[in-house]
Amino acid sequence: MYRLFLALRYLRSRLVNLISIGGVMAGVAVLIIVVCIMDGFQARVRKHVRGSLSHIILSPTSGPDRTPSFADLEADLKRRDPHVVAVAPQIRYPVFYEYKTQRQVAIDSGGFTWWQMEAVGIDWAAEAKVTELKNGILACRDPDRPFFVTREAEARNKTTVLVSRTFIEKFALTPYDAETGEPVYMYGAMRTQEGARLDNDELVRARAKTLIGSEISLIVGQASTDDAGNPAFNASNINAIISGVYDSGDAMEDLKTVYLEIGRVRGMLADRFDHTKTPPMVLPKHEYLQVNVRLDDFEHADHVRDRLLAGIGDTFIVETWEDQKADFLQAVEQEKVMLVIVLSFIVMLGGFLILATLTLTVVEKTRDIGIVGALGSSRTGVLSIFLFNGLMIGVFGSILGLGLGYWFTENVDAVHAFIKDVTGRDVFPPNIYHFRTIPTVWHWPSVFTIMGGSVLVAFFAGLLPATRAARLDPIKALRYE
Amino acid sequence: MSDPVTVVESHATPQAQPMLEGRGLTKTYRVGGHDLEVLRGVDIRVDEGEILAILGKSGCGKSTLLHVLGWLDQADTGQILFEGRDRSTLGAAERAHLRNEVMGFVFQFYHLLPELSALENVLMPAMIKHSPLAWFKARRAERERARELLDIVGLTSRAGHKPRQLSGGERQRVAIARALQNKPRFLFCDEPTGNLDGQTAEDVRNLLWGLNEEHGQTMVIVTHDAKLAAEAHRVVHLHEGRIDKGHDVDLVREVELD
Repeated sequence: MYRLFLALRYLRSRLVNLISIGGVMAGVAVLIIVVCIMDGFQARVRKHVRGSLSHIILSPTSGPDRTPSFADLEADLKRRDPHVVAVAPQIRYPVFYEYKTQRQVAIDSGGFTWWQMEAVGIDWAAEAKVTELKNGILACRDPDRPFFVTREAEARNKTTVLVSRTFIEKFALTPYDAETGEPVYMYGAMRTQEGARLDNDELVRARAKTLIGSEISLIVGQASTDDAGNPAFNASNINAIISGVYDSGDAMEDLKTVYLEIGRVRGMLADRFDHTKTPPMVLPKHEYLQVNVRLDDFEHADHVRDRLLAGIGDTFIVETWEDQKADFLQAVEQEKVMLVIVLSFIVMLGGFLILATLTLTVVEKTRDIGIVGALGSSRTGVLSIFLFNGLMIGVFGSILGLGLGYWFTENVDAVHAFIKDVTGRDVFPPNIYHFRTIPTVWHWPSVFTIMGGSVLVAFFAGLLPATRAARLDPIKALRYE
Repeated sequence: MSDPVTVVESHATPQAQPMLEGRGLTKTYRVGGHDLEVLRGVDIRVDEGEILAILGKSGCGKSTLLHVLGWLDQADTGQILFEGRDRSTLGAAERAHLRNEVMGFVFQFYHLLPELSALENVLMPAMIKHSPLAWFKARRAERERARELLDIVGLTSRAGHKPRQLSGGERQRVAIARALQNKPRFLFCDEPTGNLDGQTAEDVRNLLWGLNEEHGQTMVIVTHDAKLAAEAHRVVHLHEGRIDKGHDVDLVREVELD
């Protein structure tokens, strides 16, 4: 009992211990804050990176003649694994978005600029069950049929497209100009009429709504050869009507993706060109080029992938979405690990503080050590007094660090705003991270690991001075005046 | 006591087995490059219920002898027997345990823990004695005993004071109370009145002698004060690291009794 009692007294009576506690507190708080923010960042990045990817993605390895029809494949997949709940076909074809830059508009050059994209053909009814795209629709006329614009357009069999939020932001799309009948091309940040940046979800949604029914120009092309065998490029222009705006979360991918009905993209592959003059198309006429699979739970993904690979690995490449984004996900994880390692040095520093203050305490308390020894304390008793002292610094520091870290992560946006106000620098600019708020995830196991680790550091820091104290000969310590 | 074998073994003391006995104790310190022989073969015994005074000049090795007898320090050669048990056969933990429960120390410089109040200082041996769990059971009784002891030494009103708020005499009395907390068999006092003025020294002396009269407390008192030593039951003179045979044993007592 006296061990704890004396350890507490020494802790209380010496101000320098507060510095050690402060050091441990700072280390623990910083680690907790960083881990929470990084976990939040990671969680949000995962969501963003996943974008419109499904749990498992299949791509055929061979030509159309050796690839099963979609209906057969769907039945086969569901039979092979009970975790497969939905399957959707997809087909992709490169297109260009044709637009005029501000400069081109200003000097009326008559020229255009092309932005390379991918036309992704989907079967909405199936796709809605397989990916998160359905939840990412910001604006459309009919949520069950996002490719629907008007009866008239439907009657005229007009091509309709879903464009992304980042797309309309990047190209600052404004509604179809009714007076001139011309689309208005602008390049740069999208602004309200008053000139403010459209960085508010409500404003973006409102803008997206007004864009429905506007036309954009897409170029579909195909490489071929001319009569002399030289490379040639056949291009045709589609005036597509925007039927809706989506946001999958993956800003970079969205910028290069427009969604069309799958039949229209099949058409691009099949029927667009006059082949009488050029050699026949080499592009295979697949019914689908990618198959998206949804599982009941993503946690089975690796297992299902391996199973499918074993079964149909010859005809299909089978990947989970994490496989597809492995490098990126690993980079984020790596970043977190690096930060934790670097910041652990703060806790180490706390440990050295404890080492220093305890060494000082032992020297100062030499006579006390002798007295306690003379009164019948064993050496392990003396050892414990100083070990407890170090441990208490660790425990109190950790608890205070927990409090500080918790407060900080709870109020991270307020702190962020405060730092921005004081330093004039936005440390978490939304245009880089695409986050309006700083994401945090409070993960108790990580928090406890940090706290436990710090207490352990405190223990080891106390070990050296405590052993020194225990080695003191009571009688020599008593003579020490 | 009734064991005949032990009686035979302790032939040095015909009347009874001594509680504590030192045989041929030597101790040498190395100071500034040369050896300083402090004890040069001391034979000494302490009987139950007696006040033994070790008298000698400053630096004659009295304190060292006391520390050796109280197992705080180790003699270079020789034996220390407590009720027939040899110090050297006991482990460090056992020695610490005996020091805690059987021996009480009163130091010349009081040696109170500065962070603790008078009461807490008195309680310290009891806290060392009990394991944390046992402490929670025993603390009420122990606290009561500590208060009683403070009462005996006349410091009831000073229980909450820190050592630095107490005078020298008060500190010494706290130290005596602390030494008595675990009801030790021996009380070792190193110059208990050495740093005190006349009246205070007298108070402390009365306190110690009272303990002996009332409770039969065995005491070993180291002093250079012949007057104090003269009041002990038995005095040994320590001179240049040896017991001075010329002044041995009960002479002083007999003289006093006459």
